[in-house]
This record gives sequence, C-alpha cells and structure tokens, in this order.
Amino acid sequence: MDYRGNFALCRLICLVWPMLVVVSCVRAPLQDEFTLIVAQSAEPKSLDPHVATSLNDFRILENVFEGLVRFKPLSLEIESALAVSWEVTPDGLAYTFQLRPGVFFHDGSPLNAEAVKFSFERMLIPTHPAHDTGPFPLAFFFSQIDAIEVIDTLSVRFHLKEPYAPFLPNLAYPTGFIVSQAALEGNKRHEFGRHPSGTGPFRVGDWHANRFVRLEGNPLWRGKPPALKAIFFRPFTDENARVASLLSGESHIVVEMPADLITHFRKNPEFNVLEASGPHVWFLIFNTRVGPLRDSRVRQAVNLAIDKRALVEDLLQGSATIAKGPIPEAFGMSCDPTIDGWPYDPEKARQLVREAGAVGLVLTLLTTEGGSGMLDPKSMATAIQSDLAKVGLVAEIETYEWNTFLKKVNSGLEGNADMAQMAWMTNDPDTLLFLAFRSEAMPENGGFNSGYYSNSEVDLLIEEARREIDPSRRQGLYHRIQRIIHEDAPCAFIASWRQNAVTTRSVQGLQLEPSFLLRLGDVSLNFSMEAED
Amino acid sequence: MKLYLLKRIVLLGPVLAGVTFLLFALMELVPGDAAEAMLGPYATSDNVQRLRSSMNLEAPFPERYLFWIQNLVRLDLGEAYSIGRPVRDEVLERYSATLILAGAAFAVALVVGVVCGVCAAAWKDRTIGRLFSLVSILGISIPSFWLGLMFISLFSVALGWFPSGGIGAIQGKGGAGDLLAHLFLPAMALGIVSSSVIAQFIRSAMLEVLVSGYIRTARAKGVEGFQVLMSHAFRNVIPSILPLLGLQAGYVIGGAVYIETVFQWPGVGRMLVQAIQSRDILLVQGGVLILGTSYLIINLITDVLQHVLDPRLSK
Repeated sequence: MDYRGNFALCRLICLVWPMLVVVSCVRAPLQDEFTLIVAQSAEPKSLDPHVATSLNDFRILENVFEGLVRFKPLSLEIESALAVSWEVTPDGLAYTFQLRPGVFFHDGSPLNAEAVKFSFERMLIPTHPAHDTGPFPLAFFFSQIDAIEVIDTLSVRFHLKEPYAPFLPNLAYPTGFIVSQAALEGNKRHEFGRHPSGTGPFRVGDWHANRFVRLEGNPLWRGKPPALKAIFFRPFTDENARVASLLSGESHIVVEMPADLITHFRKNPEFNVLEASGPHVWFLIFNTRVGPLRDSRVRQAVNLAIDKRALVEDLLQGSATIAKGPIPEAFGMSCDPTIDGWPYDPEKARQLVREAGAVGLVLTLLTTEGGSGMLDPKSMATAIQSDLAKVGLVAEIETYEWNTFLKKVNSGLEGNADMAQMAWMTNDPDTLLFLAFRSEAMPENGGFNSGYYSNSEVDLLIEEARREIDPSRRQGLYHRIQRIIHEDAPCAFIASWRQNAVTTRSVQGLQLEPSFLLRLGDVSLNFSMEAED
Repeated sequence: MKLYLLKRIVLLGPVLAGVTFLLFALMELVPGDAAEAMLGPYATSDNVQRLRSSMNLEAPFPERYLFWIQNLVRLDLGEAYSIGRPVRDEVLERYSATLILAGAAFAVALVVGVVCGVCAAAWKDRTIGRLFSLVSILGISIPSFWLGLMFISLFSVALGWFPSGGIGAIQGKGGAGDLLAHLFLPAMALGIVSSSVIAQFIRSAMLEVLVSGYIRTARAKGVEGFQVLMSHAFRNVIPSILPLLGLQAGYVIGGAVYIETVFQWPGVGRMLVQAIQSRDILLVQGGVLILGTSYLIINLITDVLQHVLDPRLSK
C-alpha cells in the first residue's frame, strides 16, 4: 500500500476544498422583495416599439410604453389607456381620440396629440425626419391610415383610407405604442432603441448588452406605484441555462419553458406553472393549385388522417391545444364554438383517398429546423407522415433552415411542395385571413396565400368583416368564414400554442395575457411564502 | 532568429487574407439572407427587395468582398442588425469576456495538466499515479459542455455555491470576487478537458525522459528526487509540449463556443451562435475573424517560444 501517494492526494483535497468554499462565499443573495428577475430566451433586439418584432422584446416594451388603447386583462377586448375615450364615425373612416391629461414621458416631455401624430408618421411616411430610425417591419398594421389630424393639444383624429375594424386591436399592440418625440430628436435619436422613452409604469434604467435590461419604477407614473422597484430581464439563449437559473434561485420567472420540463415543475410545490392559450395557430398549408391536393377529398382525407390529440398531448406534451380553424379560441366570440375541427377518423380518410384514386400518391411536405412559433416542426412532420401512411398517402419530408423555408413557402407551393407547415400569431382575427386566405393575397401579388386558396364568398366576407365596426355583426361574419374554410379544407389546422411561464412561489399577481404580452405592473414578491415551508 | 520572426510575421498577412476570403465565401453559401431574417415571417417581397438594396446585398460577391475589406482596414466592420450595434464594438466587448474565460481555462489546464502529468509519471506504479492517469483519461473522454451541465447541477442547483451563469451579479458592486465566482465553473469545465490532454502528453514525455542516462547520472550523484523530476526531467520536456500547449490554447478559445452557451458567458462564442441563428452575417464575420486571428497569433507565439527555448530549431 502506497501511503505516501494517498497522503499527497489528501493534501491536494485539503488545499482545493477551502478555495472552493471561499470563492463560493462571494455569491450575492437575490432575496430582495423589490427586485424581480425574468429569464428570457434572447437578448432584446430593440426597445423601440415600432422597430421590435419579437415577443421577447414585446414583453419588456409592454411595461415601458403604452398605446392609445390596450387589451383588457385576460382578454383581447379593447379598453382605454392613453386615450380616455374615442369616437368612430358611422362610416368607420375617422377615429377621434381624447388623450388623458397630465401624462408625461419618462424624459419629462408631455403626452399630447403631436406626440401621437409623430409616433405613427415616423413609421408610415418615408420622408419623415425620424423615418431613418427604422426599419419598421410591422408598420403595415397601420397602412390604412390616410392622415392624422391634430385637433387640439389632447385630441387627435385618424382618417382611414377605408373602414378597418382591426385598427383598435392594432393600436393596442406594441407597434401602436406612443413614443416621446423629444427622445427621437437631436443626435441621440439613433440610440432610441437602447434608451427609449415611453409613458409606462417602468422606465429603462440600463441595458448591459448580453447581461440584462434593468427597468426601474417611473417616478412620473400617474397610477398606483408598482410594488417592484426594479425588474431585470436576463437573456438565456440556452434553455438548460434558463432552467438552471430558476432552480438555483437566480431568476424568479422563466418564460417559454420547454414542454418536456413543464411536468417536472408542475410536480414541484416550490414553483408555480402558468399556462394560457393565445392567438396562435399552427397548420399545414395545402397546395390547392397543382397536385393531388387540388382534390378536396384528398385535403379532407389528410385532415381526417391526422391524430391531432396525439400530436398535442403526447408529442407537444400539453403545451398546445387542438386548433379548430384559422381563428384561434383566444379571440373569444370571433371563434365559432360550434365548429369542432376535423375529427380523427382514419377509416373515413382511407375511403376518401380510395374514392379520389390517390392511394400511394407522394405528397411533399416542407418543414423547418425550427422558427418563430413553429413548436416542434420536425417531430410533428414525422408524426404526420406516419398518420398519412396509415391511410395510403406517402409524405416525403423536406427540411429547411428557417429563412430558406420561409422563402420557399412564401413564394408559393407551386413547384415547391404539396404541403407546408406554418404558424401565425396575430392580434386580430382579420390578420391571418386577410393576408393568407384571400384570392388577391396570392404569392405573386406579394401575399401569403401560399396554397392558392380561392373562394369568392370567403373573399367578400373577409372584406366585409374588416370593414364592419359592430362587434357582434363582425363575429357573425367570422363564423361564416370559418364554416366555409372548414368545408373547403385548404389547410389542416393542428395546434394552438399555450404560452407558459414558471415562477418561484414568491412571485405574486402574475397572469399570462392572451396577447402574450407580460404585464408586471401588479406583480410583487413575497418571500415569506417560501419561508412558511 | 530575427529573420525567422520576420518571416513568420510577414506570412501572417496572406494567411489572414485567406481567412477573410474563406470566411466571406462561406457566409455567401449560407442559405437565407439578412434582409429576410430582419423582416421576419411577415416580410413581403417588396420590403425585402428595398432592404436588400439599402444593405448593398444586391451587389456582386467580389464587389461586396472588396468593400468589406476596405472597411476592415478602417476597422469598420459594419452594423450588426440583429442587435443594432456596430460589429466592432460588440466583438471587442465580447472578445474581452472570451479572453478572460479562455485565459482562466488555459491556466486551469496548464496547472492541472502539469501537476497530473508529472505526478502520473513520477508515481507511475503507485495508486496515486494510476489515479492521476485515470482522471486524465476520464477528462479526455468527457465533453466539456456535459461537464459544464453537471457542474451547474451540482455546484449551482444542488449546493448553491456558485452562480449558474453570466459574467457578474446583476446587483451589487461586482469586483474581482464576483468575477471569480462566475468564472470558476466555466473555466473548470473548459480547462479540465485540455488539462487531461496536457497531462497525458506530459506523462508520456516524462516517462521517456526519466529513463534517460543523464537522469540516472543525476540520481547516482545523489540529486534529490523532486529536483531530478522538475529541474532535470520536466525542464527538458517543456520544448516538446509547447506545440501542444499552442493547440490547447486554440482549443480553449474555440471550445468557448459551447461553454459560453452553457454558462451564458457573454463572449464571442455565444455571440456567434446567436448571430448564426439570426443570419447576422456581418456579426458572424467579425466574430470568426477575431477568433481566427487569435489562433494565428497563438501559433506565432508558440513557434517563436519554441525557437527561443530550443535554439537547435533555428539552425
């Protein structure tokens, strides 16, 4: 036995161990009741609400800016925000907003009609002095605006080119937030994306690239001061790192928890799991112009062949719900509750395939490695391929990187494929229908109707619905559209993503909004909840 | 020696030019383009076209390459659209973080590697020597990202000793202690794999040297065991391990790509992963360029050091 060697090992351990303990002692505690830490999946791209396009940025912006209107809590209905009231002319062509008096931007400048006019014109008018602070990818939300008229300091009127019912929901989305004109003037205007100025309950304190964005309470906030004094948004690009930060107590809220880990947190009493459906729909686009899917029987057969429940419950592990049509259930009454979507009926699907003479036909299915809102595209493609094989259809999967995939799908499926996966997240029932289900929205016209679906009745109804400003009549029109699309089956609507967030037990008052925006004004931290155990 | 040094430095130019050309050409082959990635799924062809023109993406490859080189000479690497910052600022900031991590990891690799290698050779027939050999074989076999995840599970989640990621605490004054606490786990995870390679190499080299005649002579003359080991044997091993150390220094810089992702270390590696995902070509070019240049400089230093330590090579 070599005692000398073992002694050397003991000495080594005795030396290293205290070093470990000393180094670990410098770790600062995070138990501060006024500081919330949110772990996000990426570094924000821009905190300019007109430039931002991702949910990751919107979650921060929702707490820094406000729009003229906003979504009611836990709903996609509209309520007042910076505007105390508004009037719409009977023809739906002019919206007059009365602004809330005594509101100031974080930089101290007052909110007035000029600021509202400035906020939209900078996006829409290429010759505007602040237009070069873009690009503004979602400016098309407001392309119906013809002119903005300042009536007086606190009154502003929007003149639309034609009646446009989604105008108010679009105003509630971050692209419609009002920005400080003063902050976009002078030499620092190109820095606005990093040093923004809004009217929200929090203002941007500092942004340390790749480490955190810190929000602090807005001293000029007109309402009840938020319980939190600071909010840190930390970027964790790796999902394991995001989870580890929560488990080790370095963050309080983790958004976009991977589906396979949610179950673990559901069982752990130290954490709360929040889940909510949103205006998201994941579907298969069918090429209705050329190939086997021109035949509606084959399209219906594909719809009947796919076991959506298995996809949603097993593959996506409950992180999504079954989609029933182009209008997600999050849109409330606009979604027709009487339509149940196509059931899983492989027997009937086989029969339809036989009737159409399509047994053994090859269908090309485009999928992607992953992309915004695409859930688990490759696994879903494989599951769908297996379902289709059971009814006599052969799906050949082609997988592309996200941007190449988008290019192939958005340029139209003719010559590219028979089917393609797609996902949309919208803020109004009109958006997807208008951009992707109208005869005029063919890819050759710059639209997103990649499957070339064309139904003149649907075209008329979509136009009518977007002009209809009476909510109940508008809902009725959308019900009719859904029924026709259901029968025509130009797509297979599969899943609606349920957003999720996992929080430590100390986080109080957090609710997940159907808009997917994260409101933290009413959130507080209570560590005694954890101490009780 | 001076001539050799001059030759090596002059040769750096064409190699760097080759690196930039290869880099630019490779990015050209990557599918998708920045304008589409920037505008996202709602991009209409008109908007994409307009943005492509404004970003000069329409120009032919040689023209864009020359334009990029001209700007590079002026140290202007363009604007990274995915983060809205100049590439140069972002890359330099990230590079300093990578250097801290890679430097610490290399120090870990060097210290642990030399200690384990020398001990394994000195006590090759004893338990501790075999233990050192076993540990170094295990170290080579374990991927550093997996080791990183295990470290996080044990030291951050279970024991709560170290932070699970980041370069510094988001609250508090920071300072050297804070940096050290954040640096410890990633540097260990990255350094341990390299240390195993170094240990294995040193062990073999030491075993060869320890049976040499001059070692036997030294021992016969009554020189103490430790002195024989370090002053006689290890000293002669140093020139032969220098190229390996150069390779390992390159490895820790390259290996930072996954360790930085696992530990959310804000270095060039993590930046590259994000830039590739968002098709931010300018940022990818900036990141790869600085890593490639580092690699060339490390090689140069290694070669020069080898010539200094072993004058026979210059002859």
